[in-house]
Amino acid sequence: MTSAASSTPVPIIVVDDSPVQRRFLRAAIEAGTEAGTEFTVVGEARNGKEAVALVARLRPAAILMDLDLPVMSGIEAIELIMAVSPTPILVYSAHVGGQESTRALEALAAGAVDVLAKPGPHDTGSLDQYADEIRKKLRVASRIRVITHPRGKLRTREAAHATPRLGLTRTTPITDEVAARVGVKLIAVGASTGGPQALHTLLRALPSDLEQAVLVVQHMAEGFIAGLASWLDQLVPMPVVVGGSGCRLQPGTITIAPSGHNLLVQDDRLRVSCVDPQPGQFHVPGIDQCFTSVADSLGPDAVGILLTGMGRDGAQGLKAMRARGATTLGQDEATSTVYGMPQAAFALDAVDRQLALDDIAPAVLGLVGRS
Amino acid sequence: MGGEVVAGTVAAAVPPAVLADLRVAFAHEISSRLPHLRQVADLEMARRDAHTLASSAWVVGEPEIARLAREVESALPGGPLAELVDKLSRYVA
Repeated sequence: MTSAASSTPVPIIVVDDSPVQRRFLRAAIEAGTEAGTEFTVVGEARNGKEAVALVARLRPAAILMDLDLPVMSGIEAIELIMAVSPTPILVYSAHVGGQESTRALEALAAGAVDVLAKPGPHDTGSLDQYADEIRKKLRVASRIRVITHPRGKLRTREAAHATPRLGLTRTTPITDEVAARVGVKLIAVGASTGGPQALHTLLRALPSDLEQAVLVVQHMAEGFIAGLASWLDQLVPMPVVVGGSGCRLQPGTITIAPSGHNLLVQDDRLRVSCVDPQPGQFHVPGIDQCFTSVADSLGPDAVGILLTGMGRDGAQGLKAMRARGATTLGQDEATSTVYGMPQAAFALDAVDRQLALDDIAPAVLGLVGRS
Repeated sequence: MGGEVVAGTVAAAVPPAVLADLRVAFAHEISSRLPHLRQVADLEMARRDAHTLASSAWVVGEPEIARLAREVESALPGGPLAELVDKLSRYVA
């Protein structure tokens, strides 16, 4: 971590219609350490419209934004900001269940990079702990390079295709591998930052009568996984459920790994279990742990897909899958909100094919004989 | 204005000077939103007022107001609106 005293504080904008919340957030964000202040709040907006104008003028490193805003909603503001002045946006939401959870997922699909629950009745932590959590998320968010509106990206498919591929680790055309993948039982997908939007794009292109099970591991704040499942369930052809110990992954069903545990595939009958994370495990649920269990249980009878995300989680697991004969796909840089995890996998020689987001579903369908 | 901060809440660890500021801001927030909740002429506005007051009440260490406001937010035009209005009125009295 950069010493806070040795560098200029990172500029942040806070968006909330409540002066109480804005004052509270300023105190939390600007709370100093012995080394000095890491962040500074350079502007406050009371509604979405003010936020769009303020961000364009002040160009902060990151934005902390409520969704329930007057004049212009948080979702509209996120879309406009990401279209005009792309900036990492951290959503600050009062609810992590019900309607607000769905709204938070919509915000992630619109381009927000992460969500954070407002302190509430279930929050027993002190201000110091909460401020630490805010700053930790802002630290990550402010380092993300966001370049375009994710929904705009979907409309610029040609541009994505025009971006040079970084090369393939396997030269065999993917269509040649279809015959060798007759026994595919499971499609395992890992995603992090930018994942909800990418998952929507991928999963809406898979048919409801798919004969394979789909397992998704998405890094997400505690409490949002159920909302993610509910949100996707309304938007994609296949049913979407949250997995749990003792479940068996079902063909034609998308199972999402629950919060707080690693979801592991136990055997080739697709039974799964939830296990506690190892001490110090940074991402929970872990993609590496899940993918490695898929490699051990299914060998070549699986397809691994690593989508957009910061960090390296999933790269080792994807490599394990490839080593056991599974076909592995990685999202390319041009269409990734954050080209971190797919890049790490590519660097590890864990990726058979690196593809634009829109090309992944057709590739999967080709692999399972549904082209 | 307001009572003792409830132990275990976020507000319990807020520095006194900041908490005093937050309580003043909360009182202003109540004053500006209370008329909407008394009349409920616009359901959506009243719902948003209840939503905002719920989050703010928790931050300033008023969990009872926070709970009531959250109930009102989800139950409007029903719910314990009269009780919430009474609590808010007392807070700014």
